[in-house]
Amino acid sequence: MSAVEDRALAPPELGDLFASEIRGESKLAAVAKQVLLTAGSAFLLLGIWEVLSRIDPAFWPQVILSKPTDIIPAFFKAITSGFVWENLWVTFQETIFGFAIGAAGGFLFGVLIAISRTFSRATYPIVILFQTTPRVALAPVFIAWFGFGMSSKVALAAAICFFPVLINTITGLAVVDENALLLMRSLKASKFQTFVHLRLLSAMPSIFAGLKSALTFALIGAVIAELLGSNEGMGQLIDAASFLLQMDDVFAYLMVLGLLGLALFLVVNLVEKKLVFWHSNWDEG
Amino acid sequence: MVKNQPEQRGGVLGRSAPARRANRRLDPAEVPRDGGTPLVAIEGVSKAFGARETGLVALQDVNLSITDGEFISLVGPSGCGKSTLLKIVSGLLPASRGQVTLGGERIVSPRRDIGMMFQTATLFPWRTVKRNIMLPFDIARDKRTDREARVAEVIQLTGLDGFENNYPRELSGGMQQRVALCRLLVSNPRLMLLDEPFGALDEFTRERLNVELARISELERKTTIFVTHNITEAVFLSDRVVVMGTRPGRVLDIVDIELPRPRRAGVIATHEYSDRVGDVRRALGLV
Ligand SMILES: Nc1ncnc2c1ncn2[C@@H]1O[C@H](COP(=O)(O)OP(=O)(O)OP(=O)(O)O)[C@@H](O)[C@H]1O
Ligand SMILES: [Mg+2]
Repeated sequence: MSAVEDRALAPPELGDLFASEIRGESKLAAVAKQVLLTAGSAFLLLGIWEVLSRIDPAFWPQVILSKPTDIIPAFFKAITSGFVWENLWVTFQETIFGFAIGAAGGFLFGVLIAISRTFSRATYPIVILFQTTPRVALAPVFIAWFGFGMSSKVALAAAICFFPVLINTITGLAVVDENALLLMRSLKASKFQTFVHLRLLSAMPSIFAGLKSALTFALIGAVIAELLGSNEGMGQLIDAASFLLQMDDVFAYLMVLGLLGLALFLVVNLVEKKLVFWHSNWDEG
Repeated sequence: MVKNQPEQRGGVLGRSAPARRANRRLDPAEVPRDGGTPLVAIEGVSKAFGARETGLVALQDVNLSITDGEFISLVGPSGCGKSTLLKIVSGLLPASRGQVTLGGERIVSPRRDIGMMFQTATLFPWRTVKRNIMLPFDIARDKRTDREARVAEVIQLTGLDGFENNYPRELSGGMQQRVALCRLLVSNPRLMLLDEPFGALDEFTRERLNVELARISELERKTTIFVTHNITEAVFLSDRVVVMGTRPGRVLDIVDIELPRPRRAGVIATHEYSDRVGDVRRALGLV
C-alpha cells in the first residue's frame, strides 16, 4: 500500500497508477515477457518430443507416439474442417450448460447451507459423502439414464461442477471479517442486508475460485461422457481416431480441446476481474 | 478546581460537568442547556465471561456518567475490559449486571444514534470512499435528499476531498481511518465510541490524526468515548481520562483534564499537560 497520507502531494488520480507502479514494469513489457517465455518453453517441449520420436523408429513406434511435425499439420487440418467445428460446438454447449446448471446449483445450495443451520444440518453430511466419491464414475449411470445424446454429458459436467462451487461458496460465506460483522450489527443491519452488503460480496473471490475450477471440470466431464458413449462431440472424435490409431488426429483434437479450455478459462478470468475488481490479485493475471 | 468540589452523588458519578463543559465550549452562547444531566450513565456495570465459577470477570461494578459533548478516554492495560465496556455501551454486548442509559433510555441493543469505530478501518473494498461513507444511510434505508451533501461535508471535514472515488486499497492506513471516521460522523450520532482507532498507525500519522480528531470533536461537539493504550493521546484529546485496572477489570481513577480548548499541538509542550500525563501514569501505577 502506498502512502497517500499527505493529500497535498497526492493528486486524486494517483490510485490508478499503483498497479503498474508496484509491479515495476509497464503492462506491455509484462505481456511480451509472458508470451515469449510461454512460447519458448512450448518450443522446447515440442523439440524434445520431436527428437525423441525420431531416435529409433523401431524402439518408439511412430504411429502410436506421433510427432509434432505431423501433429501441427493435422491440427490445421482439424481447425479448417467443418465437422471438427460442429463437434466442438457440441462439446462447447455441453460444457456451458453443464457448468451453468452445476454452478448455479452449487451456489444456491451453498447459500442455503450458509444461511440456514437446519438446512445445513440436514444436507451437509450427505454433501460431504458425495464429494468424496469420484463423480466421473457416474458417467455410465448418466448415459444409461439420459442416453447417448447431449443431456448425459450435460448431466456429468453439472455433477462435477457442483461441488467446487458449493464448497467455495460455503467457505467464502463463512469467512467474514469479524469487525465488519460488528459494524453491520452496530448499524442495525438486518440479516438480509448483512448478507447482501457484506457476506456475499466478501465471498466473491472464493466463489470465483470455485467457478474457475468448475469450468475446467465441466469440460472434463463433458469429454469423459463423450468418450464413454456418444455419437458426437470432441470426445467422440478422439475415441474414433484413436480406435483407428490416427494418433496425429488424436493429438490435434486434444490441442483443439486444450484451446477451448483455455478460452473458457480466460473468459471467466475476465469476468472475475470485472466483478471482483477489489480482490488483491486482480493485477496479477 | 473541579477536583476540589464536593462530589454530588458520590463515587465517580455526577462529577461537576457544567464547569468542564463551559471550559470546553469556545462560544459563550453555547454554554450548557440542560444543567449537566448526563447523556450517558453507566451504572454498576459488571461483565463476566464463561461459567460462573470458572468464568472471567472482565468488568466489575463500573460507574461513569458522561455529559453531552464530553470527550472521555478509557486507558488501561491490555485485558482490563476497555473494549468490553465499549461494546456494552454500544448495545452489542449485554452486561451481566447493571445498565447503561443514553438520554435516560436504557441501551439494550445497537442503536443508529451510537456510532462505532475500530482499530481496523473495516472499509468495504468493493465500495469507493464515498460509498463506504454512505453505508449507514444505505443500511438505514435513509433516502434523504441531502445524503450527498452530508457526505461531502464530512469528507471536507476530514480532509479527504479528492479521494471520493478511490477504493480503500488505494489509500494508506491513515487515510482509511479518516474514511472510517467519516462513516461514523455522517449519520450524526449522539454518541461516538472509538476503540483504539489509531492504534495500528505509525506515530506520525497518529499524532496528526489526533490533532484532527480534537479539531473535529470540538467542531461537531460529539460526546465521545475513546479507548487507547496511549496515555499522552488520551490526555491530549480528553476532558476526562478514565483509568482502568485489570483482574478484575475496573475503574481505578478518573483524571480531569482542564487544558484549554481548542486543543492545538502546542499544548503538548505545556507543564499542565505533562502534569496530567503524570497523574494518569500515577493512577495506572506506572510511577
Ligand atoms: N467474547 C469473550 N469471551 C470470553 N472472554 C472474553 C471475551 N471478550 C473479551 N474477553 C476477555 O475479557 C477481558 C477483557 O477484554 P477486552 O477486550 O475488553 O480488553 P481490552 O481492555 O480491550 O484489552 P486490549 O487493550 O488488549 O484491547 C480479557 O481478559 C478477554 O480475554
Ligand atoms: Mg480492546
